[in-house]
This record gives sequence, C-alpha cells and structure tokens, in this order.
Amino acid sequence: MIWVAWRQHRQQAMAGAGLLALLGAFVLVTGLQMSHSFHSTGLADCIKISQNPSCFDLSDAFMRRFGSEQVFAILFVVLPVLAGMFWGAPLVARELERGTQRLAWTQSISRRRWLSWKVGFVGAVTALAGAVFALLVSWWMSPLLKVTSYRDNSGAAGFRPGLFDLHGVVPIGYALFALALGLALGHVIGKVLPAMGATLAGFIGVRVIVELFARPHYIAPKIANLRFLGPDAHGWTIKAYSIDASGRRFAANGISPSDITYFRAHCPGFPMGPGVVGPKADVAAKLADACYTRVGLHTIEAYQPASRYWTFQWIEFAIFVGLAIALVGFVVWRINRTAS
Amino acid sequence: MAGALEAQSLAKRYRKKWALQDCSFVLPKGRIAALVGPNGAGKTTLLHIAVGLLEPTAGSVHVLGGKPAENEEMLSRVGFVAQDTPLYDNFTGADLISFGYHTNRTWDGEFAQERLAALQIPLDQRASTLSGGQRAQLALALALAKRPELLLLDEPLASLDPLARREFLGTLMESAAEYEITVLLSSHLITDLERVCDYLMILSNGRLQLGGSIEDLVEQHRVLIGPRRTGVKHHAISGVAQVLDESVAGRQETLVVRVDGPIIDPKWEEYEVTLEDIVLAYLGQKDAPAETKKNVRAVAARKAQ
Amino acid sequence: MTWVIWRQHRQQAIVALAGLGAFVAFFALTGPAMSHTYHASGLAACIAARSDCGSLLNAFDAKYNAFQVIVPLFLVLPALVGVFWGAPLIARELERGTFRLAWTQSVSRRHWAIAKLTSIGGAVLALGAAFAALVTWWSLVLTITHTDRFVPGIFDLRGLAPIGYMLFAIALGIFLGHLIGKVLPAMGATLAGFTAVRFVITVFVRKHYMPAKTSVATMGVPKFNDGPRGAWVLSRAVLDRAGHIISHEGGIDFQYLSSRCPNIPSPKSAFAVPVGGKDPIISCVTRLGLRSLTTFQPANRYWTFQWIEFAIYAVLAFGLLGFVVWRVSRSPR
Repeated sequence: MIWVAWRQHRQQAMAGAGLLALLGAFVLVTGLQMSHSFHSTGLADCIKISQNPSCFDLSDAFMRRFGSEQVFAILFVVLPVLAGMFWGAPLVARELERGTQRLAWTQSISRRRWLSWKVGFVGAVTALAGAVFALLVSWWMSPLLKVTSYRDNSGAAGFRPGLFDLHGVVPIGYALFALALGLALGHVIGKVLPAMGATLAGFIGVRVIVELFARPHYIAPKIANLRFLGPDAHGWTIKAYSIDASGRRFAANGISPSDITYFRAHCPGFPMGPGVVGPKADVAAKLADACYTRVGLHTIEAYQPASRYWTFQWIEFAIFVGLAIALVGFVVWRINRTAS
Repeated sequence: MAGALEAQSLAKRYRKKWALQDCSFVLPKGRIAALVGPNGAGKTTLLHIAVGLLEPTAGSVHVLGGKPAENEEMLSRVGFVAQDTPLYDNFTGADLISFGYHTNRTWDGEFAQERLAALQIPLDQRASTLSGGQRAQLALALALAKRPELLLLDEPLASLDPLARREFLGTLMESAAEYEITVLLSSHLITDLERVCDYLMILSNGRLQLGGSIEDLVEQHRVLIGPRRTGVKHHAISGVAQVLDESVAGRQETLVVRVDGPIIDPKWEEYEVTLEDIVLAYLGQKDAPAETKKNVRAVAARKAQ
Repeated sequence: MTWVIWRQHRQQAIVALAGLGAFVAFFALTGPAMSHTYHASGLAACIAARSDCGSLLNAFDAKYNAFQVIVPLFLVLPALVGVFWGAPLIARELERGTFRLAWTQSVSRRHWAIAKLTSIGGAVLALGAAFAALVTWWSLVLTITHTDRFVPGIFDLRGLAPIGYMLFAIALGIFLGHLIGKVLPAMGATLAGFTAVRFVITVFVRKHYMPAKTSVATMGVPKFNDGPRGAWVLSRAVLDRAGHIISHEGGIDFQYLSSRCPNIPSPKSAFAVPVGGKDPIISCVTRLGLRSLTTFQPANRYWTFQWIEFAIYAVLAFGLLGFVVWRVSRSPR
C-alpha cells in the first residue's frame, strides 16, 4: 500500500521537493551572505556587549542591506498552508470528485487501512519537509533575530508575532495542522477547489485566533514594576500601562497632551511637550524625570520572560499537532460511513 | 444453500426520494444474472449497497453469506466494476495491475497481463489515453484478477460499440465459466444479455418486478395473438394466470401472458417469448414510467404486422 | 455570452464579493478607531510638528502591533486571485472536456475567449481597485509614521501597485491553465511563477526604474543620518578625501583606520570605550576626511514609481492574455 500511496502522490511530492529545493537554495545562499556580513563587520561581537549604543550604525547598515530578505520571511509563513491546500485537500476530495473511490474501496483493503496509509505517507513527508525547512529557516533567521533583539531592547525579538511563527518547531505543527484540515475539509466537501479555499480560510482563522488570543496566556504572565520610560522587561511585553501614586492611569510608553496638563498641575515648570529638540532636551528630560518621581509614576508590565520562549514553542506545537491528530481521527472514524 | 447475493426488504432513501423499495431476492450461486431496468430505476444503488459503498436505509443484504464489505476478507471475495469504469487516469495499465497487487490479498497479475496482451491493450500508456472499450476491458481484467467468487458490474456495456461489447461479454463468459464466478451485470441493452445470461432481475422505480432463471421464465410466459376482443370486460382465457401486457392493432390483439396451464382456446396463437418481450411487458406495468408503455405498444404493433 | 460567463463563475463571484464584504467590515470596524487614537493621543500633532515622537510612537505601535500579522495576508491576496480564479478558468474546461461543448457552439472561439477574458479581467480590475483603495485608506495611519514609503511592506500594499499585481496574477493563471491543461498543477505553477516574478522585480528591478541620485556628507559622530527625508536609500559607500570608494557597506573598516591612525583599538574592545571624551575613531575619521556617499531615490518619486510598476505588471498581463486569445483562436484542440 505504500507503493500505492507513493504512486498516487508522486507528482505532488516531486513538485513539493522541487519547490523546497529552490527555496532551500535561496535560503542557503542568502543565509551564508547574512551570516558572513554579520560576523565580518564586527556586528556579532558588538551586539554581545549588551545594549551598546554605538552598534546602531552597523545594525542599520545590516538591516538596510538585508531588508528585502525580510520580505521573504513572509513567504515562509505561507508555506505550511500550501501543504494543506495542495497535499491535504485533494487527498480524499479528488477521489470523491472523480469517483475513483469506487475502484479503491472495492479492493480487498479496508477504507481505514487505505486512508491510514495515504495520510501516513503524506504526513510523514510533510513532517520531514517541515523539519528540514524549519531548521534551515531558523539558522537563516538567527542574525536577523539577534539584530532585532538588540534594536528593540527586549532581548526577546523571537517572541514577536511575526518572528515566532517562522522559527523553532511551530512551523512543523502548522504544516501538519494544515494538512489535516485540508484532509478533513476535502472529505466533508468532496470537491477539490472549494476544499482548498475552505482550508485556506480555516487555517488563517485558527492561526489568527491562536496567535492573538491564546498565545499570550499559555503561562500566566509575570508582572513587572518598571521605571517610567525606562527599559522594558526582558521578554515579550503583552500588556503595559503606567500608573502614579494616586492611581491615575497613563499610557505605557508615552504621555498625551492631557497628561501634560496634569503634570503641570503637580510640578510647576514641567516642560512644554514631548517634542522638545536640541540642547534644551537634556534639561527638559531631567525636569520631567524629577516630576515623574515626585508623582510616583511607574510602569506596570505583564510580560513573558525571554526564558520561556522554548516552552511556548513546544506548547504551540503541541496544540497544532493535537488539532491535527483530532482532525485525522475524525476522518478515519467517518470514512467507513461515507456514502458514495 | 445460501445464495450468492440475498436481499430482504432492502430499501434506500436519498433525502425525500426512495431509490429502492422493498427489494427481496435470492441470486443463486453460479448464475450469470442480468439486472435490467430503465435509467433511474435504482440499479446502481442496489449494486453499490451490495458492494459496501452505500448503507441501506432499511432491510438487509447478504453477500456470500456475510455482510457487504464487513472485513477485508469479504472485500476480497467480491469484484466490482463501477459505471463509467473509473480508473486512475494518470496510471498506466501496468501501474493499475500493480495497484491491484498491493491492495488485494489474492491477486493473479499474470492473468491480467495475459488477458490484456491477448486483446492488444498497451500496458505502458496512461489510462486516460485508452478508448472506451479498452478501458472497460482493463477494468474487467482488474476485477477478474482478484479471483472473486461474485462479480458485480454496473452498466459495463453502455459506452461500447457492438464489436467491443461482444469481446467484453466473451471475456466475461470465459472467465466466469472457468473460475466458477457468479456474475450480476446491470444493463439496459437486452439483446446482448439474452445470449449470455441465465438469470434475470427486473428493477423499475426502485422496486423489483421480477426475478427468476430465464429458462423458467420463458417456460412460464407466452405471447398470444388473436382477434381483437370486444366489450369492456374480458373473459378469462383458460390457461392464462395473468395478462401482463396487451396491445391492439387494427382487428388484432397481442397479449403477453403468464401461463399456468395449456392454452386450448383455438382463437389464440401461441408464440415463445423472447427476453425482450418479458422485460418490456414487466416494465410496462403500472409502476413503470409512461415511456416504456409506448415502447411496448410499438413493439407489439410491429409484431402484429 | 454574458449570461453564460456569469452562470459559470457565479459561485466564484459570490465568494469574492463575500470576501470583499468581510474586508470592508474589518476596515470599517478598525479604521476609524485607529484614526481616533492617532489624533487623540497627540501623535498626529507631534508628527505635523516634525518633532521627536518616540514615546508616542511606541505607544501607538504597541497598541496596533497585532495588525502586523495581517500584512502577509494582503500581500498574498493577488496570488490567491490568480490561483483560484485564473488557473481553473481554461484548465478546468480542458481537463473535463467541456471545452468540446463550449467551442462547438455558434460562438467563435475567439469571441468566446475575448468575452471571457475581458469580463473576468474587468471584474478583477474592479475588485483590485476597490481593495487597493480600501487598504490605502485603512493603512494610512499605520504607515504615516514610516518616512520611507518604498519599503516592500508599504509600497506593495498601497496605491496602484496591488491592482497591477492582481491583473498580472489572473493573466498568469489563465495563461498557465491554458498551457498545462490540468487544474492542480496549473494552480501550483501560477503560485510559483507569480512569487518568482514579484521577487525578481521587487528586489532587482524596482530600484532601477529611474536613475538613482547621490549625495555626499561628511562622516562624523554616528547618528541616524538617513539621507534626504523620506528617501529610499539604496546603498551607502564610504569615500576618502580623494573620492575613492573605500567601503561599499557604509561601515567602518578597522584595517583601513588602524593602518593610517595611531591608537585605533581592535574591533572587539573598541566598543567598550565609554562615549564621552575624544573617541580615537572619530578623530581619525575627521582627520582623514572620510565622507559617506548615499545612493537613493527621492521621496517625491513615489507616485512615479507606483505608475511604472503598475504599467509593467499591466503590460505583462495584457501580453499573456493576448497570447492566450491568439492561441485559442488558432489551436485545433
């Protein structure tokens, strides 16, 4: 039966392999370029000495030079759903659409065994391709991650929504989930093109919901008490606000015009606005700082420490793999009752 | 002795429409049976249930003593060729034989290869490039290579030219005789089946109108031609159990009847029925669609001339 | 013929309209809220005054960080149009054999092709224009803080370019569908081809639409000197006093400095020197008269570039569609 699965999905597997080879070549070439540039200009060593302001120019040059490669990161986000659309949706839907299940399900192989082999083969190929690619992309991204971490001072750029999804083990989970979703929708809808569209929509929906609403809460965030307008907590900031001794709330990272009136009331001589430029800026900053201290203004942040990054990766991976297993199980259970 | 295929009050409903109603029959082993009926009668539904592709809404069906497709062993004892001979279009003939090998327990691949070589069907071309007749022969070879005890075919002759039909039926008969396979094939081309089948089932509007060995049926039915009977009420004709169909042409009347005794009335001339007569007569019953009734009268009118 | 086209593509049209409706709903829900925050927080006034809005910007960014997730979706949309509408258009008829029905009616093949392609093309054009207008309006506030509008994340999503991408995508899909004759491979090929063309043009061709300008400035204390305001900086080179290019990347080459000035520390320890007091690197740079040469596209060329990019993709689209019409009219298939 493994021969049958291979023979049926041969073309898809080869197209996928070709695509990955092309992308892999691109990743390899640009990755080596980036890595070389990262080390030879001294940027790598510079960043290691943390928060050194003089690395900014170098990091600027680096980001500018490899800016277009960043656009490619977007492509990699799309790859997992392609597995679902082109490999998962046609798996059962194509047979139903063309009526060949009348040939397949009247040979001496039970429907469940037939399906298990097909899904197993395509699933294994997806997992393998996903793993290879995830490794490659993680390596490729590592200089970019380090530079971004440096530039935004958080030490946890990898936690950011756009970057978390490309790095580590989660892409494999996404690919397996997309495959299973395509399989299930293909089975239910019975036509390939609508199933592909539904898979795309469903995948996007689930990913957006998990990313925006579930991910910040995998583990209860830590709360930090920080200096107003000072450095952020070392990690992924989920929510932040500022509060003074009287309990009045402010925005986390800035003050609005209405706030200025409030401060003037408490600290006479509070400087005009946030946008003071030039030599007066230092004096203004010192005055503002003194006022903040007097008012007891500090920032409260809910954040996920950078040390939890890999835990979060594995949790999200497990969620998507769990969903995939549930979907596949559903189809295997229902396949025996599918009318034709 | 269990029949090859048995049904008790089998019924199948799709949404609001009943595709099959109250079908009961026993197909004995070793028969070559024809399942005949107009389009939409429910032939495909019946076959799909027998093969495990559909579940019945009511009633039960037994195949070779067991439930259809209940396990892999049962699947291996029943062969099926679906309507329009679905094949994997981008598989070559050799690929399809390999496919059969990998998905079946008993598989006689050499038989399939020899069979197709004898018919000069190329094995290295994709199935989508073969003609209708070649595809049908390929599908049949695959079904036979499985060495089934029961072989079901859904309108296998529909898209074949007369020569291809003859070849197909020839292959089927040879193998059925040699390997003692019970065959049930559905069709609406009656004349071809006459030569080949020894058992007949007539399905119309989801109901089984008739089922029996052709020899017996021919014995039990006659065509009677005689003078047109006047008056509304007709006297019973002695020897006739049931008048299945009657048609009038000029001053003559033609009846297709089921007999239970000798016909002694000299007014009536007796003729042997053909399979077509029987089929048309039973399809012309109240249940059958109006089209078939017209056909029956046209045939009878031609005969009377 | 119009009725036939509508009846055949009714389902797709409904899905597309539903999708557009969903977008409109999303934009209507979030756009005004964003705009309100933008003004109420004082960010609008700050930017108008051209002052340093760092903290306000951070607050605003942090609030709408989630919308970053949507950018990939908008970039991918033209490709989807090509893959789901374009590829199956002719490929489906070829694969199923229904072209034998379509091409033996009393409408000439050429007429059939032109009617189909113009109506689908017209629908895509309208859809693309609506979508581009919506995104441009919605993202105005998000992008106003980025001075460089040529960045792919902004240039490709706003203005005219997305309309061009959609036209090209549908044309490519139809072309490949006709060439390959099978729906699924045509879809895959369309996706790959579209991505490849977009990549090549975005990364290699776009910067050459018009000859770049250059400007020279003295290199001094590191500061965020991005060249003329809002410009798209293509490259930075370092020149010596005589005008020779000594570095293409705009960074400081230590070998060069240490061979000409005393006291230049090695790269690793250089950055440990506290800022304040005479930095030996800065004094060396000033003594040698090093300058930076910036190659850039000025900000006011933004709309010219948008038109050029739109024209390129539109011409490609028309070329592909014209080829298909020609082949369909002639082919005995």
